[in-house]
Amino acid sequence: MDPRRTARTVSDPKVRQVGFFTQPSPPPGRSVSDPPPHDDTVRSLSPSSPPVNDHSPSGISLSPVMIPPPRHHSDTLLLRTALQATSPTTSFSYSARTVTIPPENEDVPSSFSPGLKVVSGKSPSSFPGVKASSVPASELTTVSVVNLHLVISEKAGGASVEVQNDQPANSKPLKEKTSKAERHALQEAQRAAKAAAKGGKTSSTASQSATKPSKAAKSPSQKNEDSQVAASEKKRVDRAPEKDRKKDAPHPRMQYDDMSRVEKAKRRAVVKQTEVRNRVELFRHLPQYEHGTQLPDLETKLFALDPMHHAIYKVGLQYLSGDICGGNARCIAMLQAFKEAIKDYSTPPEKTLIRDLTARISSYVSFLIECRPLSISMGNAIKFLKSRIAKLTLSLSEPDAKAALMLDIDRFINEKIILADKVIVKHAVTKIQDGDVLLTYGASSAVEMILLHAHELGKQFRVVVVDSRPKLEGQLLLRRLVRRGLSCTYTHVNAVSCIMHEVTRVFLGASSVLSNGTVYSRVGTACVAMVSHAFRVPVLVCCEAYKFHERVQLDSICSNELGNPDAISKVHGREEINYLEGLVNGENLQLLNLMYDATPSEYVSMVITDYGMVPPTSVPVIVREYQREHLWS
Amino acid sequence: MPDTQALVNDFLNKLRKRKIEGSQATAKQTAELLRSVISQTRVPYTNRAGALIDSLKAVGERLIAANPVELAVGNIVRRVLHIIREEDLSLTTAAMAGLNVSALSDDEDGADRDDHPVLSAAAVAAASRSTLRPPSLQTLLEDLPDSAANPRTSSSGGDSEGKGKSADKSSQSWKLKHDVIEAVNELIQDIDTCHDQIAEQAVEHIHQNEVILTLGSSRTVLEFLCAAKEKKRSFRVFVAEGAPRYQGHLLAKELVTRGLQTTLITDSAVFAMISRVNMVIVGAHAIMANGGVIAPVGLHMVALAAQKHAVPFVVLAGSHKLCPLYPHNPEVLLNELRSPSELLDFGEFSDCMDFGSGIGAPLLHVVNPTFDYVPPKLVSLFITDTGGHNPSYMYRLIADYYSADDLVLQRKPIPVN
Repeated sequence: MDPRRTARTVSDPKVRQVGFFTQPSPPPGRSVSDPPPHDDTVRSLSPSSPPVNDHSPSGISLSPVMIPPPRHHSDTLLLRTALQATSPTTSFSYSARTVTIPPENEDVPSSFSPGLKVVSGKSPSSFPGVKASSVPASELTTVSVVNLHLVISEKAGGASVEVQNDQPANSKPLKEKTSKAERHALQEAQRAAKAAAKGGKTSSTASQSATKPSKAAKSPSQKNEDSQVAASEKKRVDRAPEKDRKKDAPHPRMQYDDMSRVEKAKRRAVVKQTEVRNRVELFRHLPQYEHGTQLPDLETKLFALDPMHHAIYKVGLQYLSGDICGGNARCIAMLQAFKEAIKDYSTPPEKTLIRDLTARISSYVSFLIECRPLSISMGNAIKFLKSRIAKLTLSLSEPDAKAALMLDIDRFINEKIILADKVIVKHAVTKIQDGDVLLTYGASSAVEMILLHAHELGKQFRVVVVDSRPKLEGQLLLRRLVRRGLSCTYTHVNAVSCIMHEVTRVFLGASSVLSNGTVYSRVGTACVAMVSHAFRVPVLVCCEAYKFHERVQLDSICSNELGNPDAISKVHGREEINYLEGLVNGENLQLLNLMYDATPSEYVSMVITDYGMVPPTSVPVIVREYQREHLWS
Repeated sequence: MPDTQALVNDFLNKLRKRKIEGSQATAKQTAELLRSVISQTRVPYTNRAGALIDSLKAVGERLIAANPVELAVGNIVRRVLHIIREEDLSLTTAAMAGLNVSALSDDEDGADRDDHPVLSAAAVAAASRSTLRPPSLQTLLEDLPDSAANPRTSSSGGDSEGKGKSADKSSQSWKLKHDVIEAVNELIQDIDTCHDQIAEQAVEHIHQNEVILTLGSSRTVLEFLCAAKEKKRSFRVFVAEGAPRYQGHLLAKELVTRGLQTTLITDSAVFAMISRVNMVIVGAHAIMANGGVIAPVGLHMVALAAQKHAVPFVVLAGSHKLCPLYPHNPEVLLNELRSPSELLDFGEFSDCMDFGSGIGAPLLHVVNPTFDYVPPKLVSLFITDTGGHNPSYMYRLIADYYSADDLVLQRKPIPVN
């Protein structure tokens, strides 16, 4: 699409406001939950259902945020398979213990009722959000649009190209015809329809939502007549997003210095945590538990606990023991466990699937939180899953709904994490030149992929791995890099200003990027970024967009996670350092093992994300334009 | 003097093998060694100070070459040289005064002595100005007979005395050595007590409920904090552990046993915590003439973080850590790389190394530096045993302790051994 327009979409506030409008319902032909074998039939069928067909092209043409040519499900599949084919060469090691992603669609029932197709097509919660934001979004970010498309079409092996091409072809003329006012009116109408669909979730909404969009589709042609209606609707609709927005504002987190709430939470808790004797005063608002004590207790309970699904239980224990760490690995493990749980789920009698499953998921989540506080990326994934559950229509049969949800989860993992990483690697590799000295801190899966990929491309560069106690994750990364033949330098975080003279680029991973541009990441990242800033070395933060969050944070104190304090007093491999042996339970000594810190955005030169390479100031834009779209559409 | 030689060699070995920990210990031992060198040096009748200076310079050169990074050695050598010059000067001025008096009283041999005292008096005046005062434009202008007066004061004094009573000679030479040794003893005592003198100032800088951050371990910092604690100030201390030596654990232990509220954090958490800290107090390895600090590794990071959050960065250092040199590329030239085994266990990565193939260069390097250089603009305050000073004032302080002639000790290139 023409670049001038795309640029405007991002910068022009008027157009950006449009971004709040939830995306028009995607045409059923593109309903992604369709199993692949049925694609062709669906496509051939779709023209025969008049109202839907009528509305679909306009829906596409008037997308507020330049919805890119929606790719067909088949090409995502192709992409996925292509991805799997290439993955052995570029290893996806999300942690030392990699979570394997089972082949997609394995449990999807072989046939879907046509009802599902229509419903999922109309229900705003199906895939276009994911899809639209994962690939086409990069068009908006103005960086290497063509590149990305090339990459994808390359991977898809040409099959997807035609699918992509025919869409813009037929949507463009329509777009040119509609004036701005018309578009506006149309969007209002669509939003109204959406709001109605949302509100009337409990009642059967199929007919309602089917008629409304069709009306909306008609409206541009007769805008004068409709303008009144649109205006009246506007008032009503305006309030709805207002409420939505309020609801969307991040909930205040649990504050652990609030005694009453802590007590309440304790009564519910499965994991009996004992509080650390010497709590750090400054961090009273965070949970400070003793580590390692609850594990045996929990293991005995493994079979006694009825309501908890065993997969969830396993993941929880793995979090607790630290077997799974790293943002992506934890998120993938959690989603896989949820998938397992959904697979084995059956709605109890006299309950509805939507409500019961949501409650069930909530209880799982609170169990996982007890094991280890959620990362922001996991929070986003849970939000996604819950919104998906909420968007299920009641008319859906239980196996269908479960299949749809499992497909949703797989899709989230593939597109938001794996594919996003591929795209990040593609972008970041362009920033590595021969002779570079790249510095990285800790062990970030994205950065590791970038380094390995650049090495495979034959670029000549050196890597400086900076590490710090107590996790020493850098050593794991170092081992993997040296095995692959990269030339590495290893040092600890204190020496970073000594080594920074020779460094030309700094690549950092992130646990999350907050909407004020603050990078929330493994503790020490801020130090490294600060020193790089002082030495005028560019800092590139690699972070998948699903980890972005609208929360803001100024320091590392207000919200953080505390690790095991005992890890501080004992130095791994250095037995002679045992000065604190008898004092750990003393009154005056506190051991503080912070897990994360917040890097101010001024230290970050660039955030590399799946939407392209953007300055940290653009993070709120991405959060606003895409997050919402994929979570709430 | 075989015994001094043995002492010197012993000390050289210790320095080379890095057996002496900490600049205070090094400084003290250097001063003691130099004291014994002085006492063993046979002083000729003429040019006594010159001979002492030469022998000290020879020893000092070797000491510095043994561990060029330990700047305290050079500092102490220079300070002892300065002491000799000063003592010598005061002796000659005293002698001059005595001579002048004697010249007035009995002038039988005034004929041949007539021009000598006048000239030497002028030389003494110039020399006294140049040594007692720091170099300035005025002294530069007044410094005419300097080239003649280098062995000047002593030689002219020696000459004039040599012509006088010979019984006086031995007592004079003995007096110079005695005075110098006295002064060196004072220096040693200063080094010993610098902690207390710095700690005395603690209450002026630490207030109630203060939050103080420090990194690694320094005895000066420990005494400073404890002194404030003894004065009934209650405050809390964050101690960053100071990888790779983890001396912070030691400091934390000491602080806890003395009843201070202590929180031990990892080095990487410094940036996270510094926003809640009121003051950073650290020790130093050496202070350069421009006010820059050679400090334990990691402090540059801390100083940057402190600057970002406008937290005062206070460096405690005894005056033996004042180095009269200006740093050039100190991150490299004044640094020392320690053993990689502190970071990676021996053999841990041996399976990843393939020495058999290629150019033989290992793929993995481990960098483990000892020191950081903190530029003067990041330092808010120096607290030395003479009080608090601004970084920009350091060069003046240094002029009090060192004479400009001694700044360069190496006159010939050091033989590589």
